[in-house]
Amino acid sequence: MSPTEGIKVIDGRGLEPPEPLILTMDALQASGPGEKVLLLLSREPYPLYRALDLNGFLHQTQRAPDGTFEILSWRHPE
Amino acid sequence: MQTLPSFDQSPPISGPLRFFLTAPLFAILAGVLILWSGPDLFASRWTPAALALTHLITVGFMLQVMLGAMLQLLPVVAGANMTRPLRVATLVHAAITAGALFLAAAFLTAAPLLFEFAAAFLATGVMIFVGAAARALYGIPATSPTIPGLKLALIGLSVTVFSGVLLAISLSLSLELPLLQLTNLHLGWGFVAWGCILLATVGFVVVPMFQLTPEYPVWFGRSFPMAAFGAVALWTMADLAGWATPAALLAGAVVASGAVFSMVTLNIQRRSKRARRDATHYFWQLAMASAFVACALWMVTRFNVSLGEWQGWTLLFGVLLLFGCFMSVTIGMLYKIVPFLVWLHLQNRGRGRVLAPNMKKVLAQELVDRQMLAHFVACALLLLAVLWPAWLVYPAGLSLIIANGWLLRNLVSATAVYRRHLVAIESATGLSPK
Repeated sequence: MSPTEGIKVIDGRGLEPPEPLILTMDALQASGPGEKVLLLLSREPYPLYRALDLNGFLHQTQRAPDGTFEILSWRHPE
Repeated sequence: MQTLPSFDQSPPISGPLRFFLTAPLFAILAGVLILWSGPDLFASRWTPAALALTHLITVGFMLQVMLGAMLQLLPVVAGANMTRPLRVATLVHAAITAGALFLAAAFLTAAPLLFEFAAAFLATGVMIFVGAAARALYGIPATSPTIPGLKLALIGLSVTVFSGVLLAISLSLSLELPLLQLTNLHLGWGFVAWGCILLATVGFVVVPMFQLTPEYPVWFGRSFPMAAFGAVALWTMADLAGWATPAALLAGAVVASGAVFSMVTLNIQRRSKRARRDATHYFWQLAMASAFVACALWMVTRFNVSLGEWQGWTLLFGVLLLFGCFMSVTIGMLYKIVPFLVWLHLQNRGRGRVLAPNMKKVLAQELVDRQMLAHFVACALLLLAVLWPAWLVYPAGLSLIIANGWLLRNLVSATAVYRRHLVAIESATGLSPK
């Protein structure tokens, strides 16, 4: 999942919780139509998944060969 | 995030908090017991007061916090949600609190009925918890070492409680069971298959996450819980079968597993990227150093006959593990879990219209640092009290009371922040706090 145009990348690997979650939700809140947020983390963020679901955002997760979790999230198309 | 309605659907905050606020009370009770018993408590690990003290800490303090933390951590680190978490918390908390009190009283009075009550309450409480946690974990794919590790730890807890119940019943009914052998197995399962595997499994997630260290080596995370569990299981079989030499070698492997985990953790902690190391870092460091010294002491007694014959080494071993290792790491984790819980629940209750306070403002760092020093002093005095009980048993008991009174005060102050903000939320949103 390589970063492309329209994707804001947040590297949460050196951040203490709940900073990655707050940054991701803030970025999604500020995102426009078609924009996405990519969070990089060393572990699977279960609380973020529920926060995304509860707030109507969609997400897709994949694991990079180095073990990093890449969580791509975006607004639900109305 | 002003308009975001909610972050999470965690168990209600009162679920885990009741465990966290009860635990320091048991440690204070342990301090009172030390003052009441005086130097005689440290005559041997088998004195009624030493056995009561051990269980006030293992069941009253450690088990309380471990179960409360698991209630909260299962959804966060494993994505496993318990059904009716508040009901589970209420039943389990009531059962293990009563069980711990009965057990301590049973050791002090040797009353058979108290042993039976203790066994019934503790077995019920732990069975309810293990059942609820097993249901939550059922079908969750093992995407990280955390999930199989948690399952193994729950099996370890079940065997620990089963062997404990067997011991309590045999004391109550004067059954002719091999008590020493059963006690050693109870200790091995409790310290390693439950305590150490749970600590490692949680540590694999929280040490890198909160202390900004490198990750644990992948091979270590995958193999450690199973290797430690396998060593305990094989040792148990060899011991019960009466195979002396394999049992002795496997007992060494069980203890070595604790030493290996502590060394690996100390090594990755050394490479923390945090600019300023916080109290949790030092609590973990003390815990791992204590665990390593305890394991080394055990190993030395296998080869040094005169040290092995000294009654005091088992007490030193116990103080290092209970207070130096498990109590330290437990307190260190409470200082991360409780502010996070307060922040998370206030964030949810505020529904984006009232922002939760920064986690660092939930619990002032100076309060945490001072309590940490009080705990370190208590650990040192308890260790020295084993060597010079007549001189130091009273300062040790008093310092344990002070350190845990302080811990309770800190935790209560964090819950006060929660209550104050709830009132602010109520007045800002017109919602009534539940």
